[in-house]
Amino acid sequence: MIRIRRQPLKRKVKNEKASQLSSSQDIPLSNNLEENIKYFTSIYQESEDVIFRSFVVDQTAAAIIYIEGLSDTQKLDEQVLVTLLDKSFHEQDFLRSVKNQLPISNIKTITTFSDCIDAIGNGNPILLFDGFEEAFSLGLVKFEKRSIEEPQAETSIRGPREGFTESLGVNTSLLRRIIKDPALKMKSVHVGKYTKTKVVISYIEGVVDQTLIKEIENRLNRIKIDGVLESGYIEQFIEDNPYSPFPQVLYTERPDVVSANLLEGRAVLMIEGTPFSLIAPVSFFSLFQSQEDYYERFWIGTFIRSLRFLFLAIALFLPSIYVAITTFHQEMVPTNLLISIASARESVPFPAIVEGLMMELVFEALREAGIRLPKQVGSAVSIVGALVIGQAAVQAGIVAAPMVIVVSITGIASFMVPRYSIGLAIRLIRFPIIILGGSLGLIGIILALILIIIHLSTLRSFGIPYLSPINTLQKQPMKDTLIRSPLWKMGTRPHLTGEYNAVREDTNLHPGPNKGSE
Amino acid sequence: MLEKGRISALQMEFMMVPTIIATGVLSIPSIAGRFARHDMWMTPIIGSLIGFFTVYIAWKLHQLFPRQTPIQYSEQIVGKVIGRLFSLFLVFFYIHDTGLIIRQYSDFITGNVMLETPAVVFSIGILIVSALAVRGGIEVIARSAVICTTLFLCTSVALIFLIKDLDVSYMLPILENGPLPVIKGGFVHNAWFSEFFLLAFIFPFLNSQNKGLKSGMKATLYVMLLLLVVNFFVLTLLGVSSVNQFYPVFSIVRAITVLGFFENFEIIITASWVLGNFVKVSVFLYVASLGLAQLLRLSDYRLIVFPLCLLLILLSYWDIPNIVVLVDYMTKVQPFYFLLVQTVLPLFLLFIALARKKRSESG
Repeated sequence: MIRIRRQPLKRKVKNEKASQLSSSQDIPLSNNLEENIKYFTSIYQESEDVIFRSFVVDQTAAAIIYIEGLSDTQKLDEQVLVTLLDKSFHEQDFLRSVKNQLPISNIKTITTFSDCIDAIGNGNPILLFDGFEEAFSLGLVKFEKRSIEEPQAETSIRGPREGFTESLGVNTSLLRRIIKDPALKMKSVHVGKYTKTKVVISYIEGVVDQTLIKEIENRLNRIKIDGVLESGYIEQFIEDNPYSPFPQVLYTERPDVVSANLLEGRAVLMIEGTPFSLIAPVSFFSLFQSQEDYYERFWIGTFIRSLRFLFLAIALFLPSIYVAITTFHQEMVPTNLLISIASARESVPFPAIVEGLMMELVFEALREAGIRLPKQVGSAVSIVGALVIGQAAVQAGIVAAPMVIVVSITGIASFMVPRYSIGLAIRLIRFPIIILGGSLGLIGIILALILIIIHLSTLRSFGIPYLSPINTLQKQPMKDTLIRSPLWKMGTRPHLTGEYNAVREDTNLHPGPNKGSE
Repeated sequence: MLEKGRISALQMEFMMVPTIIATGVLSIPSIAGRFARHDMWMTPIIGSLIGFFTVYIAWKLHQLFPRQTPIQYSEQIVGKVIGRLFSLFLVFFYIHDTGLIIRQYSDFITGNVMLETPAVVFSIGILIVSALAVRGGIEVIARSAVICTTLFLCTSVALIFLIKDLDVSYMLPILENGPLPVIKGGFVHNAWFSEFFLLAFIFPFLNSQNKGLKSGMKATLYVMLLLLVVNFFVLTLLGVSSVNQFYPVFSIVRAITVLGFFENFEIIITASWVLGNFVKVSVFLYVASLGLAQLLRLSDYRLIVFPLCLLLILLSYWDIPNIVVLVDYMTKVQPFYFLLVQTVLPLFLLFIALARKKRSESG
């Protein structure tokens, strides 16, 4: 295998330029207010929403800079300005006495222009004084945000109804409200040259493997990108295998799911501006766990989970098996069924593989159209769609009725998957399997299955094998994969990598009468 | 080290069981029955003795030379020239054997299930997937083997539906012609059971070194039990006439009906058998390419996997003209040839190594 070595020369030059640009802004504030304001006005020229307000505090010239709509103007006017203009301050220790008398809890002293710009960008008004090289950033962030609602993409019947919002502060507070121990840590990293998006790495100290956190930090720091608009941007830059159709990071907008994963020793990335948090590392089987598996009785959880895997197989293979059987292995079908299939297919002009691909494509198109369209038009799509892949198509003799049933069952089966991202992967790989099934029969389908198994066996998510614990044959964590064993039996956490805090709960928690007195 | 992966002893068992029975289950009932007639159900017990013995030899050699494959330690045992000649022979033996497996596999499929598709399509298909697994390293083979073996063995549960048709009187009279036919029938198993010498290439990559022998023995035992069950079913369903068929197992699978509605199961069983065969081909291809890379002192065995696959496709057609010759070869040549290469030669290696060790200790 000959690999063409890329010339790193060009890239290097660009990187240097970029670093020069950012370091040039890292100069300390001047002690001349005029100069400072001049600098800020030059940066914020043609930005109408940045507000400069100059005034005099006890014979010292001062200025407040903030961006309209990001800061709490009412508090700024009624508390900060009133205090500054009305009260008198100590002359020698001016800055400290100002700080002491301002009725704000979160005041930070900053000394460089870049810090000031960051503070302004985040919605903290900055307060500058003439004759001082320090500025105050006032913690008066207030912007319009969505209130906490029930998560739209992950509803549940039993369980908390709160979902994350687009505001990072709200999300971290939701998490803190569930896990109150100070061992819950939140580290932040900024990603994106222009968006400067804050990414919070959250984990429980003592439960998580520290090398995992370091690895995540390294991967995050490697991201040099202009902007981060959604968690997907981060996800695609920190994956282990970027070419795989399978998601190697789980996303959720439910604080309870995040907490459960934190408690199992995983790390969570919360990204500013999106309700979706990323969970890593994950295995294939954690993509099939729903929060309600744990909230309901374990029999139900186990049943529903096995149902999911059954329907995963159906969603992946049913159309291709139908195509393979009608094309190659007709003798497998019981005679009565064969006669009805044959009579239904009699008027259909296409071979089964074309019919299957066509119907699946139309179904995918309908699904996509249903998601993107405005709600008012959506109903029209569903009416037309029902006609296209329903009775009308059969009556017109374009598709056979069994194919319509197969496609519908496949559609229902693909909705069984609790995580949308794995559902997308299944939708995608269904098509090559139909082609293989149509050309090599069941043997082709088995070859496709082997290929999927090999691919999943090669895949890793932050060091843990993607199909663990099933194909690494660890006994303990298998209690929570294909089945969901009772909570009092899952005494140990799954072992991910490295350091490992095994004990999750006491032994001998088996409930029953007269247990309390022992 | 060419291979950095580590697998567990249990994963090794999952790898080895289909490696032996995937092709064995097709032909053994027929060719063992030719010698043992209605005593063929007990032939795997005799045959497995060679299996246990081979596992023990591989294990002893591995204990003398831990973390090394036969290609590496044969040079240390019998010197550079003879050692390399032996390694060359061993590697070519495995390449040849893999070619045979591919041929058996694609002949079976085109002869029974997909009658109109050319056999080469299936040879290429299985080789591509196996090569991909081999390129992933032993960890990937082991991890995919766990799932493939489970699915492969799960479908054999379908044999339960045949219990109502069993006729145990086919087994009588037991040992009518004395023990000799049974021993002869057991001897044809050698070709398969001596393949346990493949373990010598897998032992070095176990993560817990002391579990190897036990797992190897367990795998041999499982293979023996599975073959016993299969032979039993074949004999009690088809009687002695089963020896006239190339694939008696396929015939009994055909007879399965469930609730009078699901019939003609053989395609599903064949499909799941492909999973087992994939494990077999991957293990053989892995050993062949790892051995060749170590012999040629390459820095990576992954480079030669695909070129080797091309060679294997050619070899699988060049070697055997048709299935009659193949069955003849399996009955008359394989038991001796495979036993010689995989059990007798390693036994000599072991003796020489032990003698050398003793001499160096005393001297």
